Amino acid sequence: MSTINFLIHRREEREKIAAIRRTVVAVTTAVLVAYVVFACGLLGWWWYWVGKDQKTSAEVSQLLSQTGKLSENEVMIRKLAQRSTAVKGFLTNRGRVSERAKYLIQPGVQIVRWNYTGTEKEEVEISVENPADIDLFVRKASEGRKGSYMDKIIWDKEKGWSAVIVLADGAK
Amino acid sequence: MNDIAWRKWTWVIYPLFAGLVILSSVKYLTGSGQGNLSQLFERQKKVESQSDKATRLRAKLAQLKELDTNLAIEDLSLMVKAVPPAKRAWLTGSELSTAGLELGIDLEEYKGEGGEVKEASESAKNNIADKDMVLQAAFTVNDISQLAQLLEKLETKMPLMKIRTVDFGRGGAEIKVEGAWAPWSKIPAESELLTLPEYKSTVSEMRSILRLFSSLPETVPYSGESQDITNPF
Repeated sequence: MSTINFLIHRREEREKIAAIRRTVVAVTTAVLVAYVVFACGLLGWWWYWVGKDQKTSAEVSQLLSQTGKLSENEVMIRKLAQRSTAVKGFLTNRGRVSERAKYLIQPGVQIVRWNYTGTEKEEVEISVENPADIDLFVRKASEGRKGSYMDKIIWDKEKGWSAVIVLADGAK
Repeated sequence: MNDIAWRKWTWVIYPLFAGLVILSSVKYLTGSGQGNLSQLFERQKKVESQSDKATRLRAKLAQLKELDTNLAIEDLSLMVKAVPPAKRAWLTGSELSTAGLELGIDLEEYKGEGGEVKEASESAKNNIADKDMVLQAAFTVNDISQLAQLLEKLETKMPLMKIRTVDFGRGGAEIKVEGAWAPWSKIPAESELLTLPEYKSTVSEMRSILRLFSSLPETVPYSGESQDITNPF
């Protein structure tokens, strides 16, 4: 009876070990397959970037040599860019002062003094025969210049009517 | 008996060997050898940056090839005439004088502040302080319309000038003008790798404006009688 029991026990043990072996081998195979797939991918990736590195390096050095041969054109372009910016900067910051002077020319009005200071404020002294021309002048000359005002109005027996007008862009 | 027990466990070699292979190759990949992962990532970054560089260089090469050298030289001389690379006070003075002569207006005098009047080097920014070149001129002007004409003349002269102040009255006008000048900036040493600046639209815009302006020979002396170019400062 004990011999039978012993044989049964051995058989159960063998079956248990066989089950463990099957599981371990299966897991190992799965891991190995996954790893081989990963390694192949990595190798492909490495091969791709090494190839691309060689190709782009060669292309860059070829392009550098070609641009180097055209260095005179590059210097010319940089000079053109510099000078055109300088010209544009100078032209942008200058106002048309002649246009301002032309704006002061009005019939019946003589400009006695005009002081343009480059700021938003200018002073004009005018002389007129007809006092109504002062008002007309102020209205026209101060068009669009909200800060303008008449500073003085003078009548002199010898010189007649004159006025000092301040033309300004901002508020009075 | 012992032999049978050993044979029973031979299958263990397979997972152990597989584990060893995986561990050793992972160690190789994370180590400092040629094929380690960090180096591969670096190579990828390097290739990406090289690709960018190649793209920029291709665009640059196309720009360089399409440059019309003759037109570029013409444009550059026109712009250098408009804004010289050095202070040329005598030239601005002669412009004031010529503008007056053209309109029958007397230029009584002109003067300017002292300062270095050095020729700027084309390849490097010179040491001249970035001081504006300002000249003050006194004209005999009868009325405002004559003054307006004079100012218009001055505004279309080359080299360019900017009218800063005008004091008109008592039969004359005192005009303060700023003559244009700008030194060359040094072209960067590593410029071969830098992209070219956008210039076409500005150059074409400036060309059309400047062609409208009158030009003045650069060798005209400021005094009509003397052939010697004298620095008025």
